[in-house]
Amino acid sequence: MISNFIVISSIILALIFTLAWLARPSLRKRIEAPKHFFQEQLQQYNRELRDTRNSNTVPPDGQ
Amino acid sequence: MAETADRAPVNRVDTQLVHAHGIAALVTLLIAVIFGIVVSLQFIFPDLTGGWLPLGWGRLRFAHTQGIMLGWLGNAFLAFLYHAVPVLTGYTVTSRNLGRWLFAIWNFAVMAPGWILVLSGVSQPLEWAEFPLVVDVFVVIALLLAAAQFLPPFFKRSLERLYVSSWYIIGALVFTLLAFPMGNIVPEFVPGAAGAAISGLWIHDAVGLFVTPLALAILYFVIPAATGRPIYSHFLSMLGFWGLFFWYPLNGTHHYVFSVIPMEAQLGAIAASALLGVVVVFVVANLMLSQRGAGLLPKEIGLRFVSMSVLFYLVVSVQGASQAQMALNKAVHFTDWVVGHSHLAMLGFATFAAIGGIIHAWQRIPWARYNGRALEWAYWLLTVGIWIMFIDLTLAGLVQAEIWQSGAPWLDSLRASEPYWIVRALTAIPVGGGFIMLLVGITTGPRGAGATAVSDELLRNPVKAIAPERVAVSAAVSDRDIRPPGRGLVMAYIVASVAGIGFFALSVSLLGIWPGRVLAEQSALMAPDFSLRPTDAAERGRRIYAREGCAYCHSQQIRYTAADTARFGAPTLAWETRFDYPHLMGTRRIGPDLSRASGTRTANWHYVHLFAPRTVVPLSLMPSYSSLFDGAPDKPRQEARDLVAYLESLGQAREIAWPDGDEKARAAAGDNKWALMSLDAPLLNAHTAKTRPRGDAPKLAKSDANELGAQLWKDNCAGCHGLDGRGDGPASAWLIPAPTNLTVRRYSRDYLADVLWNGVHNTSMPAWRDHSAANRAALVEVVRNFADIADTALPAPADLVLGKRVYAENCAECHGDTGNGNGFFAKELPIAPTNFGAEQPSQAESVRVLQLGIAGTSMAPWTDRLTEDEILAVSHYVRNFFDVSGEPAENNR
Repeated sequence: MISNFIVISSIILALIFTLAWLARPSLRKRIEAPKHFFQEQLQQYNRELRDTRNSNTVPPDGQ
Repeated sequence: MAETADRAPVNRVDTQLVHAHGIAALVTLLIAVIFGIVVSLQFIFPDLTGGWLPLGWGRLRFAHTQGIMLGWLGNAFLAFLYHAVPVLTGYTVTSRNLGRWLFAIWNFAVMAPGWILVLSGVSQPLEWAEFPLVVDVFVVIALLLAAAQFLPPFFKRSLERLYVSSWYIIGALVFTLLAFPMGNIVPEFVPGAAGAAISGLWIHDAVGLFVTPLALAILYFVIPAATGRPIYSHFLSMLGFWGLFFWYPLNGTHHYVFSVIPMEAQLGAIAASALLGVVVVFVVANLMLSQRGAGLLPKEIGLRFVSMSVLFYLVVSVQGASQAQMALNKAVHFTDWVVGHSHLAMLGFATFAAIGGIIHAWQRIPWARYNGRALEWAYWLLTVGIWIMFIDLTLAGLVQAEIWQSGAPWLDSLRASEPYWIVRALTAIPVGGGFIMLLVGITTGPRGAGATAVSDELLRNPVKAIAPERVAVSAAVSDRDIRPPGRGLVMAYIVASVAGIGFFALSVSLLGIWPGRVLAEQSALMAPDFSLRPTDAAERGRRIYAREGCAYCHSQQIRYTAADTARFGAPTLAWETRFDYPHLMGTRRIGPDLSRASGTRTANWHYVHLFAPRTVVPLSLMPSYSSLFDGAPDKPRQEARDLVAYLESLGQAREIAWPDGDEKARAAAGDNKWALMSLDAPLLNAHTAKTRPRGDAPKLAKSDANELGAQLWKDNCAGCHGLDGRGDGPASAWLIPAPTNLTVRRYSRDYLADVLWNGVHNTSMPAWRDHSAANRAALVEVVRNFADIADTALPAPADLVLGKRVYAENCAECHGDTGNGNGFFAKELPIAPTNFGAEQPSQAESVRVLQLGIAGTSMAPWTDRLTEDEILAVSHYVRNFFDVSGEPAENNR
């Protein structure tokens, strides 16, 4: 019973994801968006890091 | 409160807290690894710590695993979160002061007191939950603080901008907050197998809902950051996220396959384990594709650690899914295979991810010291060390599985494991060295050198640095594609939270609460009417057993497998564990299962075994518990008495219930084939050492395997009887009755075959049924060859007449009219009288026994009742009973 529930619900979930992926191109774009936003954030972070890294080599409290 | 996103991301990262947790992580790691190294050395040198309880094997084992999970990985993850959360969200974490409190609680209210208490003997014997309840309270407080510290920044972002690392971080923080109290506190209040079902959930949740999500958050963070390119597929990553959070919690019961926990729950966990393996393949494929272009051995050291972590993750997950399947689980469960698996998970996959995360953050702390060369050394030492350890333990597990399945003597598996345990201990050199180099790498070298390790090109234009085919973010997606924040956003968070928490609730309901109710019903229906509760002494002994980690070497669950039933007896029924708070079912067998320890050994043997294990079992690996005695096994302190009382109680309730008491159980079992397997088992206690009535031993042919016999004697018998069979082995001074001096007696072959098959009841002489007929035959010849009684003087006829009269008047009531040990009083004696038809003492030995008696038996000294002449006469007379048929003529005197 439990194993049937797990296997059947897994199949249903996999089908839902797959069908959504196939049927809705906009979803594909939307679901991939976070990785691009994250990349932008990383780039911004890196830019600032590059600008500041040589100006601060001492810990804030002088450790 | 979290600041707005106005501050530059670089300044939003609290580098001091990253640094503090990073250093704490490495310090706790080294301490935990030292514990682990000592534990591994104790497999080779069991008396390494001299029987001093605070450094006993069990306590160090507790400290080792808690140190790795909470000290090392906990601090490493916190260090990474202080770096990652501001970058992922654009907001600072909630509060620096909160961070200081969190740091202080994690290290000075959890780790330090946790270790001190565990080593002092205050602990709980639950896998991955060994710190005591008082420390658990502080862990929960710390987890609440962590949630307050790191979650608010995420809730300020649109859900649809939430990157997969963020999902994993949120999931880990929320789920651990739910799973930790369940796994650490509930089993203290839910007995036996029902508690084990909950405990099993936590064993997997600790890895699957705490360690794995945070490790994956690091992998998904560091790979795009180091390669300068987005991950291959965010869709696949989210599929993996939801798949892991759905299936991981449903895996827990696979730690108790073939146990008494309802098979339905076991099969559910097995199915979920297989499905989890499939999902991990997708996750790993995505992570590997995300590294394309970086090469098999990335130049950037942080990425290189992460890359190896991905490979470890693939191997450990496929292995985990496989070993949950019944066919493999039947063989490798309880073996070093599982130990290799857990080391690959925690020291391989999770540790390499954590190191990658720390290095990544370290490189971005402008003032942090950084020694790239040391980190290179750390990588190679750890990679080589972990792979060797994993392969070595996996092979050891297969060897142990083969021996256990074959029914060969338990000690064979120890002997066969020894080379593997030596190799495992030797891996301490590269692994320990690697961790030391890691500490050197982040505490030496110029300040800010980590930043220069990250190439200018990567910082300036990360995508071009590795991936020339950059896809512009703006071209890939625009804000128009994203649903605007507002009510929809709030609803999305609620839906995600309900789904996530629902998964957890589902797993607890299906694999924790439901099995618990079934087991409670089974207990109520099948338990005998009487209530054989543990005595106070046994209950105190149980706490000592738990405190010293005995359950980590000796399981207390006879599984529903043919091999377990043949070796240990009837599989454990639910009611047998109903007084176990918490359960002690165990997850590893280094020594044999102790579910049926009652009646298997004498108390005297237990005392000697606890005090000096190798005196009675020369190949034993058990540490000495001499601290429980006042200098000798015959001077046990109360704790030793309590512990032995507990050991003697194990299985006693079922023994008393058997076979009449099981009628009720049989009626309740109905057609439950698993319960019937236990009730129909041929032997309730099949422990090979258990002594049994004489008479049913298979005959043994004469053996000429002298070398085999000599080795068997040395490994199994010399501890008590001495190398030369004189009864003067290291344990002889403490055993009552003392081991027999075999040089002053000769025995018939059949008699020795019987003694080896059935043991000598109520003495320390166990049965040796697990040895093959060839082994036992070889031992019979060894014993017979010890006999040196040919020079015994012949008696005068008058002596025999006198001896006959004395014997009839004084000895026959026990030894029988014909000397066969079957006198009318024999059955009343705890230790059977000597059968002179099968055992012939030398005449001098006969006199000695008549004069001194045999301590610990019913044979008293006769000097106050018989004259010297009578003693001499009867000593000759009893020798005449010996059946000389089949004996060499020169010995028949």
